Amino acid sequence: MSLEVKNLSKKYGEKTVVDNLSFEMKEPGVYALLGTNGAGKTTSIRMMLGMLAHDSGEVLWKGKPLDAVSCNVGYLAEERGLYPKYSLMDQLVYFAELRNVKKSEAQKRIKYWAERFEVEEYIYPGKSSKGKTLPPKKPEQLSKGNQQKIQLISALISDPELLILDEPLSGLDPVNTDLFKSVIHEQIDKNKFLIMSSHQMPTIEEFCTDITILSKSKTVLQGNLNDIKKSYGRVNLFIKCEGDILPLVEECGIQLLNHKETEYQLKVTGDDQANILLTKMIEKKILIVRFELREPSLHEIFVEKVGGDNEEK
Amino acid sequence: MKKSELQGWQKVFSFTFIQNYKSKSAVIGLVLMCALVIFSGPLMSLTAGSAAADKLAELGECKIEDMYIKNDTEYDFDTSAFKEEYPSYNKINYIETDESTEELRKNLGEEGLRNIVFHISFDGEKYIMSFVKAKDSEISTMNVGNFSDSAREFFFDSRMAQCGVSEEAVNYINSEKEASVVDISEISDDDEKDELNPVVMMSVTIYAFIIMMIVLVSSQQIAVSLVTEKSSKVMETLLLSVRPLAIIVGKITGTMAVLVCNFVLFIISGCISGIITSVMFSKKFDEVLSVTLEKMAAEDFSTQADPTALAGFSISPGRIIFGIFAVVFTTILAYLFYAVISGITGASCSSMEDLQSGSAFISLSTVLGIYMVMGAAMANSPVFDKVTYFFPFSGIYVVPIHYIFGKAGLSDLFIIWAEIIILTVLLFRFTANIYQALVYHKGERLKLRDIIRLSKARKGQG
Repeated sequence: MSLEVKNLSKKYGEKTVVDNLSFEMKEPGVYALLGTNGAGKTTSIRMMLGMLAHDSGEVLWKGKPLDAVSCNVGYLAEERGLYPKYSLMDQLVYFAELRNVKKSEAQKRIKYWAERFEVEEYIYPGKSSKGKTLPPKKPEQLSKGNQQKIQLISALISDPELLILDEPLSGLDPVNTDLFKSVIHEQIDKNKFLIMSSHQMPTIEEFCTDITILSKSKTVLQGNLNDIKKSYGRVNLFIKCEGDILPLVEECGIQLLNHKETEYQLKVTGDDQANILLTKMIEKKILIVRFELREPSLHEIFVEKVGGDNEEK
Repeated sequence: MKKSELQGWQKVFSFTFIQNYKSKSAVIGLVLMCALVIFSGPLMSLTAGSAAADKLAELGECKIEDMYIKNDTEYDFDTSAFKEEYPSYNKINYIETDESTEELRKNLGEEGLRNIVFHISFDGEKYIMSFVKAKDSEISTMNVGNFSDSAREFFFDSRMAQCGVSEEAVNYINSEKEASVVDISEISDDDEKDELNPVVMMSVTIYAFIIMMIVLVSSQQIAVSLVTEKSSKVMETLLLSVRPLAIIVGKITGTMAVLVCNFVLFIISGCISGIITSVMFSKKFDEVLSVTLEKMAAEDFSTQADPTALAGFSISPGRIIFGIFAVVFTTILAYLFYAVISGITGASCSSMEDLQSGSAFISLSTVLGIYMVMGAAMANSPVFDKVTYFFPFSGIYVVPIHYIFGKAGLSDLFIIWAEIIILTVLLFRFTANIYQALVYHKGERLKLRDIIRLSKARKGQG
């Protein structure tokens, strides 16, 4: 067992912001920490990293209390931050040295990641068409996406064993999203432990094996993603056909979730109910383009689990 | 406070130090200041040199050729004795005459541009000495004025001598009379009421100004740096590797190292300036400084500069050496005290706009200290002096300088040091307690009561 979070709690005055959070990562992989805005994800991460004092509980890394100062941890914070005036090279070397990476090694790694993320022109001096040396751009001149790349470089520069990514893909264009995803896959392949927090559910589904969903500081769902999905059963029915099937849906007592021209989203009680509908459609000689019975998506599970809480607000 | 909370402060220190010298504006400012220090010596020397030349002109280069003396009094004006007493005027051709002043004035035509008519008379109440020069005379009014001072003094002395009054008797008659009413409670063995000495006051003013600049500039630097890290969200990246206390300690020491380096550079610049001055003007730098200080004291405080003002103090070398240490040590303590305050100020603000109002305490306390020091100097009251010594915001500006000049004792120094050290330690402990919560604070600026409440809540958590 490598990462163990036990009964982590935090209160600000009378308000509980994290209530008894517990989870564990036995194997390398990606663990998702999900929740609505203000559910306590960032506070939990800060407490795990020792950046914020916790009221109770403990965080163990390889059986010992996790201390981000002595353990090799990389962290991409939700709020990206760079010094606006200092050169990027100086900043990256500074962040690396703070993580106990030697300057020469840091410079090598910066070169590798700069090429990988195609941000050399912002880190190293360039040359003008007339051959003049141009200073690298300052962070304040960088686009949001490029700032995010630099931020990820600073998280990866110590080659961390444990990497925590808070909203890693927000605000990125599709090309850069793929670039970030490839880097994350690379880290997974290197048997790293990753904790990811994101509101982009397809991304979580793509990377994560285990999840915890927080709502109003409490854990509302936790476990292996596949097991959770299986526990819900295949109740989502998606149909695309030529012809009106609404009378048949009503006849079978199936719940209609959404209907758009020839596409129908339905919720069934089980395989039998779906089979009855399929039989009736064939009998009526309705041309079926697509008939898919599937488990609920993470998005649907998330909305189901925390939607009610948000409505109460 | 655990030792691990300070881990990594050296890296913050070196980054703060190096980035300061990578800032173009800071380097340009430093170069300009060094240039100012380097050129100030030669410039002061030039000014002092011109003052000396003026004096020489006053004394030696007198342009008067003929002086017609018409003496209508019963006392003799012995020109031979005058020449002996004032050798700078011995080239003048003194012509004693009985002609009427109107006639004499006619002689000051085109050919008498370097002549003066000197008329001594008595109107029944006072002796009058009048000097008349031609309309387009080559003799300056200042030249005549200087001569008149000498003539007046000589005439007074000769008159006394002719009346049989000795110089001692004159001094006795002219001695100052003073009456004062003193409350017995104010009298003690060692508290003598000192006269307002312009040199002490000038030294206190210069020292206070330097400390104020150090305190304001460095405090602003630390607070701005913290607010920048908070507003640019760098803080979160930093806190992964170092604890908040290590950040503030690294910043405070880094900024102090910058100040020390700048100070060393100024000293080196001062030495270069001294060398240039000695080479260019063959004049020792301390002489130039003395003349300039005297001039400044005379101009700024409207008091007559005493040429022996600097030499008048009998300060032992030991006192000077310990005094210099006291000045440096007090400056460091003052810096640390305000640096910790600026750390709290910076951490309690989330934006530069907040910082403007947040820095008010630092500005007000420095200004209050300076006003108290100036007020005490003007009041010239031992009681007020003691109040400024023991009030930490004013004591830092005045005690070390007064110690060097013998106005303050060793006990005064130790008391102000103890006060500042205790206050700094208490503030630092307070900061250590709340800093972590403060650096995560976003939104409106936290006021003092919010910070105290936060501290109490943290203590409550154990």
